[in-house]
Amino acid sequence: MIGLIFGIMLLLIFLGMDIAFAMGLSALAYISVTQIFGRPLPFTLIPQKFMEGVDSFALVAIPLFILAGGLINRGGITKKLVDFANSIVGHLRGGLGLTCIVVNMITAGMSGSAIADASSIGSILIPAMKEEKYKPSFSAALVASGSTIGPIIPPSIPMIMIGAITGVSVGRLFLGGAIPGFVMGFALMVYTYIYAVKSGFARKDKPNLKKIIESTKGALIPLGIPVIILGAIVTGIATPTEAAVIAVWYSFIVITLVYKSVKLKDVYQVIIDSMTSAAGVLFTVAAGVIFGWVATVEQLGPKLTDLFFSISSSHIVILFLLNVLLLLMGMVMSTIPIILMMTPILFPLIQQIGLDPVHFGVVMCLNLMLGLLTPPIGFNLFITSAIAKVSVEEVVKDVLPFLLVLLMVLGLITYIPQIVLWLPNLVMK
Amino acid sequence: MINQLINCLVKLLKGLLVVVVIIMVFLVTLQVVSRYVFQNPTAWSEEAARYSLIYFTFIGAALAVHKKETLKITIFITKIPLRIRIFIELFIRILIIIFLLITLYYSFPVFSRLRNQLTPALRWSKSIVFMSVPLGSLVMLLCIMQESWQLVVKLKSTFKGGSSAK
Repeated sequence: MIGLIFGIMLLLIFLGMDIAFAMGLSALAYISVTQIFGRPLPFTLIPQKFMEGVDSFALVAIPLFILAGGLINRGGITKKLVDFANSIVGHLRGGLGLTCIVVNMITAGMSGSAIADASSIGSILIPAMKEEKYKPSFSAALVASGSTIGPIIPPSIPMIMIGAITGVSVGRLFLGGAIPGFVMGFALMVYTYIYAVKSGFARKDKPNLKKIIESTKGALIPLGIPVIILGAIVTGIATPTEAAVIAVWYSFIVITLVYKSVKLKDVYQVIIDSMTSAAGVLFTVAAGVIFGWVATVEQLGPKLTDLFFSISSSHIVILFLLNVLLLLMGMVMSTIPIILMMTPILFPLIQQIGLDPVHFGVVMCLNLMLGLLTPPIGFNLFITSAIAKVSVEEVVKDVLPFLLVLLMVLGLITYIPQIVLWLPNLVMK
Repeated sequence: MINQLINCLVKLLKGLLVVVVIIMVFLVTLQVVSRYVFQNPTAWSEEAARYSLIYFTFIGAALAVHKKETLKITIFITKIPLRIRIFIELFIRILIIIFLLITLYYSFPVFSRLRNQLTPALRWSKSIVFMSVPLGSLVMLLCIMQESWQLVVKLKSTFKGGSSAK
């Protein structure tokens, strides 16, 4: 029966229903069926779980990080970061491409959303790359891939959700993503460099010390944000939610008092714009909790465990199968619904076979980021191809090598858990 | 009539959303400050922050439904011919209306059950916190009903337009 409920939900989602309502309705369908067969469940569960679904201090971090991101974007900080990164790596072959990855790694430390990063960075760097005769579809692919680092380097909205749903420490998940995020950035830069050499991009003038100092000065204030967020979490001064509020204050003060680029009236608009969509995300989380609860009642986790064990009891094989499953889902769905659907099912399995939930949480996150780069549902491709004014199909061709590079990173962190776990184990006992 | 009512409600909710966001920011700030400056974390600020998140979610979700900014996947549906698409969209709205009506109906028993339960730190009635769910659902219901009506009008016009074109 649970298969039928799952089917209803997927059908409704693909027919274009809001994901929150699709999850709520399939839970409603389940409760209705139990009135006739089996032990009847009360309908009051729906409104009640709606409330309980977002009754979590960890989730408070989601609107706060999105608000900080909205303020930063409005303040024109991305441009300053681009100048900074460009003064350091811009002179190399494919310098602008490398700049793009570096900027993505920095903004990854401020915002927790790949889609937000893709549009803010893409709108600056894709036109710039066009001027330097980069193939538009390549620049679109580059920005789309680079921005997947966003939710891997802390903060990360998907990780906050995984933590809130499973009870795994969000702080540990954040720390676990730090090193894999840098590995991703490094790997993408290596490929970009190789591509640049192959296409015969010219080297530019040697870096100019004066320019570096100047651009660093300009970027110093925004660079404080990732330093504060990571620093607060690493030293244990603040929980992720508290780090988020510090980021909100910092970006608010910077854009209103230091840069004076934004008036208080604009801040009101930023709050309305960014917070409406943030609430839409949280509403989906609330509905996802109702659905996840159905999955728990139906013992979907243990059933899946049995299924996996009937195939193999080796961690290597099970991790491989889980990665394939998530990659396939990532192709047809977006990140948040997959997290809401799969975490309540997969995490009991993970714990039962003795894998570290922090390790798997980060693997899952990176895996779902690849879903942003794969058609038919690859939101990053949609955004960057629109900015570059090329068709999605063209970008898909150029994104393939990037996808392969990121798949290698996924394999690396899947089978060498220390890459993920070393930092959280070092910092948080 | 209903359009004016919804516009009014949306304005009100926007103001409320901003207020709730500011409250949430101050509560979490208080949490940090009380822990580090006064060495004595307040229990109620953490609780109040969670409750303001619940209000935030349902006020904001109503606005998101109004602005059509909820998460959805429309890539497949946009490939379907217009008239069939409107039928499907209408069908989906009807399902959502049923869902919201059931949520509202069963909110009453939950509300009365929670009325006498007090929250641990603030000693408020839990029903105050819960009220956000039916309130948000009610506004969503109005918005979806308005959208459905617009779809019906659109559907009528495609039939008229279709027949006159032929």
